[in-house]
Amino acid sequence: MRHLTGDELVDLADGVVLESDVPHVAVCATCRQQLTELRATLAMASEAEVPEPSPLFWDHFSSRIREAVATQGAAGVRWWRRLASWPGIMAPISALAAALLIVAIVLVSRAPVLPEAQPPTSVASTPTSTLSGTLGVELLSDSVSADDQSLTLVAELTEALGWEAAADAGLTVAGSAEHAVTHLSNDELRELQRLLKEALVRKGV
Amino acid sequence: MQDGGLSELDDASLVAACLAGTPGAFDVIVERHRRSVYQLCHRYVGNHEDASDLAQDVFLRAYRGMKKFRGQSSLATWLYRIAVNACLNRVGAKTPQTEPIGEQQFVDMRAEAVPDKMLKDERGARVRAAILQLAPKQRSTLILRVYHEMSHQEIADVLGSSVGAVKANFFHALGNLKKLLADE
Repeated sequence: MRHLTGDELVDLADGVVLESDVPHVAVCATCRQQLTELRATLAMASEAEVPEPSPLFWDHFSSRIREAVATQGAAGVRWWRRLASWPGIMAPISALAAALLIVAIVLVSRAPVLPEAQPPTSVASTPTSTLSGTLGVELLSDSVSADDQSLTLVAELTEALGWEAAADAGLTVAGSAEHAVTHLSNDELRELQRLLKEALVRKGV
Repeated sequence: MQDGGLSELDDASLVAACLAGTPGAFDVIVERHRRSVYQLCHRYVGNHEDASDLAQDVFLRAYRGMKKFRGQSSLATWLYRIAVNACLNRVGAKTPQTEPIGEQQFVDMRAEAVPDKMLKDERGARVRAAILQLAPKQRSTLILRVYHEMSHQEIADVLGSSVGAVKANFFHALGNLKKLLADE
């Protein structure tokens, strides 16, 4: 006679298998004894409840979880937000950002105006010339679009204005090309004349 | 607590709401399962403080790993799996600190006569202390089967073993528990 295995006894004790479906239990005192002991131990174990914490515990428990979850979420926040929270870090960062912005504005404002695609036709246009040899001053091309009405107006109004008059009026700024031209020495003027003649010869004038 | 109807959602819908970032969805999950998770942890470690810490850890792990929940098992089973792993790690690391018999955090004196309640509590404490002496797999099987009414297949999934092994562990757990209680 084969006794019931542990698995079979567990199924009977658990109620997974009905005792009526296992005739051996009715005829075997050993297996019946084992089954009785298993059920008694199960019953005793089932009565062992976990002590219930105070009601306050559950409120605090949920709050702690909520805070921990929020902390985890904050920890995932981008690094730059954490950097911004460091005390005293924002002032130097702001100053640096402002300095970079100023530099960018200055660079853009001093950038040379690129020539338009169409050939310049404004009366205010002047040929490019370079006095690189003696003076070391490079005159930039002043090609101006004929569509620029304001510049055209200025050019018309100042067409008759000589360099000396412009310098006396304070319209030349130290370091500018106009200032350099109006403050040339006699030797420099002669050299300038020679260079202009050479340029005109090259252009076939 | 007003939760905009979240407490009426089933677990699968709550998980989806969590993943969608719905505020309060995880709070509802915690509230719904906190007691069972806490009790499972308490049966592993035998005292309130460790059980509380472990239970919190379980929910934090669940929050971090929510995307991994595929819905192939119930949310409760998934939480129990996390809890069992956390408890087994803790049990392996330190000797369980059991609470003295008769010490209660909160005693509800309304339902039963005091002497019967205290006798019952004392028996319960003895059983819990005996369970703590079982081998980890036997302890896990008994806790999940007796107190969380999980099927042998579900227990096998949680523990990563077979149904046959679960039944064998359960059989041995009950036999050892009987011996431990008889020896006292």
